[in-house]
Amino acid sequence: MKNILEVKNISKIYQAPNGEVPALNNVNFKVKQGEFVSIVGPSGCGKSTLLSIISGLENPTYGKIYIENEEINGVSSHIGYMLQNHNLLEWRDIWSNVTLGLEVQKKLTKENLDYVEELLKFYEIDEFKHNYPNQLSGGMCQRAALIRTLAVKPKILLLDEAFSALDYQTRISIVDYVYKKIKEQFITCLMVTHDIPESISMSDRVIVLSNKPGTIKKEFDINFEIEDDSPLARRNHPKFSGYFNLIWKELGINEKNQSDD
Amino acid sequence: MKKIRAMTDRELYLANLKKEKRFVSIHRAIVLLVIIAVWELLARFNLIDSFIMSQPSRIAETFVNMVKENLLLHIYTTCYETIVGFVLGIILGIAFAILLWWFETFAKICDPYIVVLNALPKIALGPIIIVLVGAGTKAIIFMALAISLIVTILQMYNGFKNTNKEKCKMLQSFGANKFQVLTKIVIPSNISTLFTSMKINIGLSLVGVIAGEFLVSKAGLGYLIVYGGQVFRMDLVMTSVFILAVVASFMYIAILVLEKWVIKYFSHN
Ligand SMILES: Nc1ncnc2c1ncn2[C@@H]1O[C@H](COP(=O)(O)OP(=O)(O)OP(=O)(O)O)[C@@H](O)[C@H]1O
Ligand SMILES: [Mg+2]
Repeated sequence: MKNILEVKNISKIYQAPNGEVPALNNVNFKVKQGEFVSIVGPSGCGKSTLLSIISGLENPTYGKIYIENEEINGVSSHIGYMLQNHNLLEWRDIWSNVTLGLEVQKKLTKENLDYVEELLKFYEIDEFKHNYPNQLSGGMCQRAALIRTLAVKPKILLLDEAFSALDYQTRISIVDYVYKKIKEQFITCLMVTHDIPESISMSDRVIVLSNKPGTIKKEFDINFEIEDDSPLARRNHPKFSGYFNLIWKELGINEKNQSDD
Repeated sequence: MKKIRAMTDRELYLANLKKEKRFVSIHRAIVLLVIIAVWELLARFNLIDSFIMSQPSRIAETFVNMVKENLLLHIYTTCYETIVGFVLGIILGIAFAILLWWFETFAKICDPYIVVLNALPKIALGPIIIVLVGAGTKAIIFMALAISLIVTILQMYNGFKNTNKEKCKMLQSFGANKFQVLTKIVIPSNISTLFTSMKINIGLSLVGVIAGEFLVSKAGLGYLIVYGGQVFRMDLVMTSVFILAVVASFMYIAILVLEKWVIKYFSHN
């Protein structure tokens, strides 16, 4: 399978009034088409920064990002970026929130809107499409934000803690949904998370970042070889806890080094 | 008794709320009546000089006479000048705030000038305005504009600058340009800033208009007040001040109503 995304020698140093803040240090990795990669790391190690750079919203201090072997320069329409908060606009109803991306890109065609309808049904919020964000639960808002991102049919999906605001049960079932949908459509996905079980249950590969400034400590290939693969099936697999311990150890050392945060 | 016991807690709460509201309204009216009655009595028994302090019955009489003459013209003049000054202040203020938001360097260049202009008592500009645009309605409207514009610019620009960065980032992630960020995020996020600004502005415009009418005018409530003072007709002054208070309140209420209406349209809850 060919590489769709390449992150090459990325470093980021923020210029703050009280000096330089190094956020990322020489990060390198590649993502294959259709692959699901998770990035885990301690808080403040530069995970959101990394996604912002890949999305083209932020410039790296050093290094380059390639999508399908082309260097990106600004925001690419191949990328769908779901930020850490759902950022629904409270003055728009759900329908005009989820179609916002299409509106911005001037692609409000019948075909695209039908696709949005389909997504609303799939994520079970179509009956709320004329409601406003403050009338929905946190989980519903999160799903609406995901639909808004998916509506523009990105080839690469960047998820920043997309599910962490949800309660445990909603979370497990949504993750299951999203995973199936993403695999069905062969979308490449790069997800940032604090949650090790979540990263194992969804990913083909988990990248562990070090403390700030973030640099890759280790990569783990996740391979369950389950016939009917799904996050839930993985959680019940005997290999699951093995992966968990591996990643936990890798992260745990970080946490001991961290004074208290 | 029986009926009260049948009430649910919520009904009881609502009933109490209503009772309290009525109590407040009634006592507000009583305060007004007492003030008027005491004033009138003090004047009747010559405990205060009714020539200087006027008195309610005289004010009522003057009011009736004024209505017979051309009070409406004076009210209209003041309202017209205030509304024109207010609308211009809001439109120009927003336009300038957008320019400052759009061009950050421009904002940095303008910053000290805006600070100085904001601190300056704008009434001092009166004579300059009169020389520039002539002693007429235009000068009065300019006066209103001078007083309200800078505050509007500052308030709106501040609101624009503090728009949720994450929301802007979200829109930009779809490839939005600056104009789209402005119209789809920045402006809708600042509807309440706009109304706060409008509420302050309507009062400031009225200050500007009255000050302008003091300086140059042939009509308007400010003119009546100055004229009444010059010919020692204090009941004319007092009546005009009362009418001004009523006019100012109505303008403020009009904005409150508009705000309620727009907020309802924008948030639907
Ligand atoms: N605009 C900025 N200016 C200066 N420093 C910044 C800026 N944005 C982020 N940082 C710093 O860069 C580091 C990385 O931030 P980032 O948000 O990428 O972390 P994160 O890994 O996503 O954290 P979390 O898990 O809490 O979301 C942090 O220490 C933060 O303080
Ligand atoms: Mg983050």
